[in-house]
Amino acid sequence: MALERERGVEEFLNTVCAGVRFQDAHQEIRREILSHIEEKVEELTARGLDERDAVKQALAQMGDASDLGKRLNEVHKPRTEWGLVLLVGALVGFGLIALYTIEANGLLEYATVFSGIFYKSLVYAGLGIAVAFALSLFDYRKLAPLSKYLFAATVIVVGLVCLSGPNTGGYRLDLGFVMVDVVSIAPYFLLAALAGIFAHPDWDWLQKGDSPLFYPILKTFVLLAVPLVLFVSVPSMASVVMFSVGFLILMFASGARWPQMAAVAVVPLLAAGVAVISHPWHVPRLFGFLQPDRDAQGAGYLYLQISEAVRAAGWWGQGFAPGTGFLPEIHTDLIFTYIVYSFGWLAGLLLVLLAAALVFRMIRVARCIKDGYGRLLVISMVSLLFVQFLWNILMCVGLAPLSGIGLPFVSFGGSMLVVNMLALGLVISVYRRKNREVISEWPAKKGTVPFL
Amino acid sequence: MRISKELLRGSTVILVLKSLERQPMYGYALIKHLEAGSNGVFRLKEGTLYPILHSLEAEGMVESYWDSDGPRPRKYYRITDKGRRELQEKQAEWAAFRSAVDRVLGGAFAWR
Repeated sequence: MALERERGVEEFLNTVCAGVRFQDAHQEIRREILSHIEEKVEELTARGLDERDAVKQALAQMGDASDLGKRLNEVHKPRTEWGLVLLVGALVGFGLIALYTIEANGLLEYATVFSGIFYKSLVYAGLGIAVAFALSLFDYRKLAPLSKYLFAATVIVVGLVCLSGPNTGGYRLDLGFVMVDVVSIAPYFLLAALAGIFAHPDWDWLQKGDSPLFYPILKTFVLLAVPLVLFVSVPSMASVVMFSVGFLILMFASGARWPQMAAVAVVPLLAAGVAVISHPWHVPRLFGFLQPDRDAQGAGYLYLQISEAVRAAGWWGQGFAPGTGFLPEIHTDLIFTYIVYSFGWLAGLLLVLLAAALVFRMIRVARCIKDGYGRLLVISMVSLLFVQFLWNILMCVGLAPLSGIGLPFVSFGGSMLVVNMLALGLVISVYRRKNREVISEWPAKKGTVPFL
Repeated sequence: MRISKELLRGSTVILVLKSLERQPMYGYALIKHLEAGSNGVFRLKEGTLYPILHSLEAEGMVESYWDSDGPRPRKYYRITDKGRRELQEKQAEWAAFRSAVDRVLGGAFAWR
């Protein structure tokens, strides 16, 4: 029965959908109500009515179309996760205040090089808010078919940057007007792409016939190893750890088995081994935090300074005296140490709570997403944020090895701030569409282990 | 007997959840089920069921899936654990409400 073209029916469906402002929901509402009308008409014609009367009666039974549209609109109004927006706003605000005090008091070692960090950060925050807003309106599902290409393109760009060697700002992509820290932001793009690759119905961790260890483990090895080789060649510890942890979490969330994950985890361990052998001088610096006193003038020096700054802070902080001059990078990686020293333990505690609240809220978002791809996207973004928050805060109080991991949304760093905002926009985009049914080209996956 | 709209509205959610607790159903079948189960008392405008189902889904009380094996694709709804808990609460609430109303009505009757 092709009732959809029937004039009265089409008009009814159009009127209903006209009332629903969220267009993403239209297709499904149409299908559901059409199916209902068809059912009714079939029943009435079976009772002997001719089709035209049956349609008329079926529509009359449905009730008023515009009233129905209005009620459906109430349900399908997209909800923005304002909690996330507020938390990120608070973190960015925190960062801007800290940067302002650093700049205003001339606390940076190379004050001339970094002049204008406050204004630069303000510009990047504005830019980030703009892209986050744009992305939140964008239907994330359109990204899914592009996942493979996104992965390949990211690998190629990172590869080219690695091959061309470091320039003035380290391994950065010179776009003429701005230097992009490609290596640091690459994990975001790679994991977003992997969310699409793992959520694809053809990707089955439990493929029958083969040993679960063989396929698709081979592909998985390649997907993990290629970026890791590049990150190790830089070397960028931060990217190695962020990508590896995010990768394993995504595997778990998409239904991989423990033996598979254990097999794959060999790759980052191998990468770490290679990094240690090729850069042996990094080792004592990395583990200096365990016993900083043993080499107080060398590997342990910075860790001792950090511990001293944190201990001396007190509840209300030491203010903005140049006392912090003994710490480097207080505007980027060590901004948390600076905040604790200058604003006090309470401020540090508040920052920790904000970060934890952001991570937990994002996990809650992930849990209420039915669409497998959307859920993996959110999980990939929250994994990256979690790793950075945890490691950065621990290292800033002297409990983890120093690395190039900044405090998300707080540390100075244009590329990172904008990409974190992109991640926020993506999560909001997924949340806004959480009520939309899964009727994309990808059928709902069967037999996956529900995560969370 | 015709039942007033206000009375219907308050009880539709509990009836929908109760029906879906027995088995997953699509909208049309749900309406038939309600009508038959209540001897025709629950005869709502059929369209009004969908906003109710959709908001129950948004609240996580039910979840939906499409089944396209039959003659036409049908959107089924099934109850979730959260929906089951809600149903139990609503049932207890309803029982308390009903017996209170009965008692007052019964008392009023004895007065005369």
